[in-house]
Amino acid sequence: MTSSKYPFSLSQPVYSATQVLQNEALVAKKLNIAMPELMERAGTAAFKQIVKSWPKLKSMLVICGKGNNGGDGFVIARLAHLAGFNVLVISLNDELAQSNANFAYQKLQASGVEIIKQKALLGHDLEQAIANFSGELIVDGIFGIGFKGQLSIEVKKLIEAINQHKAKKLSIDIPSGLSASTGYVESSAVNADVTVSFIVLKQGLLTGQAANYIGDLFLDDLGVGADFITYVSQLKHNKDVVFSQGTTDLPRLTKRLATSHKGNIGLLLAIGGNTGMPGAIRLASEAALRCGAALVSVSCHQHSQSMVFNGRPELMLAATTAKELANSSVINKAKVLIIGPGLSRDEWGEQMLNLALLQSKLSVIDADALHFLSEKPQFNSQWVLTPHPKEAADLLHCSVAEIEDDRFKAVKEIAQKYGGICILKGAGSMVSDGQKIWLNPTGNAGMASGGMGDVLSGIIGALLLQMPDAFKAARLACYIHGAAADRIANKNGQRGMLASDLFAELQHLVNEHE
Amino acid sequence: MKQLDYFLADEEATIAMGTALAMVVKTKLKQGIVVFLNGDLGAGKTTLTRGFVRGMGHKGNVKSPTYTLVEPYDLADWHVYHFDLYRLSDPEELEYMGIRDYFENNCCCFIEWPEKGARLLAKADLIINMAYQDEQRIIKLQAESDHGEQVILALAQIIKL
Repeated sequence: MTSSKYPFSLSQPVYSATQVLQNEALVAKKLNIAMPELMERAGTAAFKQIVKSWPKLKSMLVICGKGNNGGDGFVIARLAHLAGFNVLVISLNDELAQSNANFAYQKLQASGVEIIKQKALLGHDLEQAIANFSGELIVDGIFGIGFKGQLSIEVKKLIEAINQHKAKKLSIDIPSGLSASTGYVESSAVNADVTVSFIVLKQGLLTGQAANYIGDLFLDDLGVGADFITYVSQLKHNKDVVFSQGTTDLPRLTKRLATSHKGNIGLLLAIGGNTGMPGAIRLASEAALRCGAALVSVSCHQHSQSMVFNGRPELMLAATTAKELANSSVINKAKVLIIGPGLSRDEWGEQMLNLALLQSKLSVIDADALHFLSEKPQFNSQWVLTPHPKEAADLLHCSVAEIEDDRFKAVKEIAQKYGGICILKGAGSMVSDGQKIWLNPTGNAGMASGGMGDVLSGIIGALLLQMPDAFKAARLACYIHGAAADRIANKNGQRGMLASDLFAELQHLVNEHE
Repeated sequence: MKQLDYFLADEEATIAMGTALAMVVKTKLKQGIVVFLNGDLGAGKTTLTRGFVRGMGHKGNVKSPTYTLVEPYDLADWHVYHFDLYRLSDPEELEYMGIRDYFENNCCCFIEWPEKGARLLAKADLIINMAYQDEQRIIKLQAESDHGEQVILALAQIIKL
């Protein structure tokens, strides 16, 4: 029973709130751990983390909601009081007798901590009580992973009062207001500095808007994690398998033999760069070169050619129209295609895409190519689709809000509907083959700049050339893409990072992963 | 700390676990270790050993010793022996192959199907149980000696989870 900071060394399964809520009590029961004991372990884990994260801290306000999360809060409050902290508790539950948290509450009361009940606040408001708190930490035990849907106006105000307070914030299991299944925030959520989550990772902590709220994420398995994982994996209906990618068990590139030559690595053909759009395809093809694509040929619009090839003589010129390209040898020789960056939505672009779709080759379908595909859906197991949320909405003919509301469902549906592998971009990128989903742990907000997606396409194309399994190639590509940006952010900060800054790091990273 | 459980998502995770064990042996324990490996066929015992052998510095292939009983890896500072006793018909056979010589100070022995070797094997420092479900595995490491405990403690520090 130790807590570790995310991301982890080894890949871990990730669960929806429903999976955890349905099975945690059963697993605890099998292990002969009663609910109050599990709550005691959770509170202890969170309190230990408080001491570790803020060793000098001596006062806290614990806000406890009606569920088990509130019970964990009671345990934290008691332990902190016993350790000599100045503790104030606000309990939003006026009917504790019936709840799982009652035992923890009784023990807290016996310890002599000051507890303000919501009832007693009638006439004063809750926000005022929080604003009056002059201590250093607010512990958020309002909602646990059972929360979904909308916040009431009162709770929304309460959360905003917490967020405005200058104290540090720790959320128990999950920041209140964040959906543990989807990472969606309807109106408001607690802005935690630290979140201590229990038993297993939940999906909503790792994607969507989670990154804006969770702060540093720690997991403590409370001594039941492995049993939980084993139990759930044996359930018959357990088809939804989601993993968070570990940092030491990534798919690897096979080592190059000393006798390798460019011919046996293969040719990558990058198609895009319509008139006025030379940058995107250049970024994709240069990234591919840096990731080990031995031969990269670019088919772009005639007007873009001089810009695409300027200063990068390693790139090879391919035909500039679909008709010429169809009759050239390059299209037959290519082992992998990238199509989309800078393609544009005109006739030139559409003809290029139609030509690419006629080839039965491993392909990366990106940007405007995804737009054309959404208009004429096709199924192909040979491609990797790389939509951002807007493109994903086009592919599934729904709104961006619906995509963001459940990214897990979206990425799987796209892979099932169109075939192959789908990478849904955005904070907490995810990769799916239609059954399994892998969450990528690398990347940062500095990547919200033009051309980053084009670089990703280039990385995927290069790895498809060099790895036999497209799903693994896509997973490694996402990881390397984010890791390159993380290294640059560590050196230079996030703001002002350029897509082309990634190139130098990419070369290091692909060599580290063989 | 006497026991550690980990979830292993796939072959890569199993190899990474083996490599982490090698790191602990090389940099923390700094002496040989005897590991018993339990688990059904396909549970990942050989894959785990492959990660370990590579982590200890072996560059080439790692093959299953099912037909040879033992596959030796003589590395710069270490000897790693990968036993698979599945086909052993009588523990006596171990005597003929000079089993005692394999348990020297700088020798790491990974032994699959240890029960077939009965009492002729050295006592385990670590017993590893592996169970699988599709590609996924749960690995349970149990310390059987002080060295085993040291390994488990150091492993928990390396593998952040």
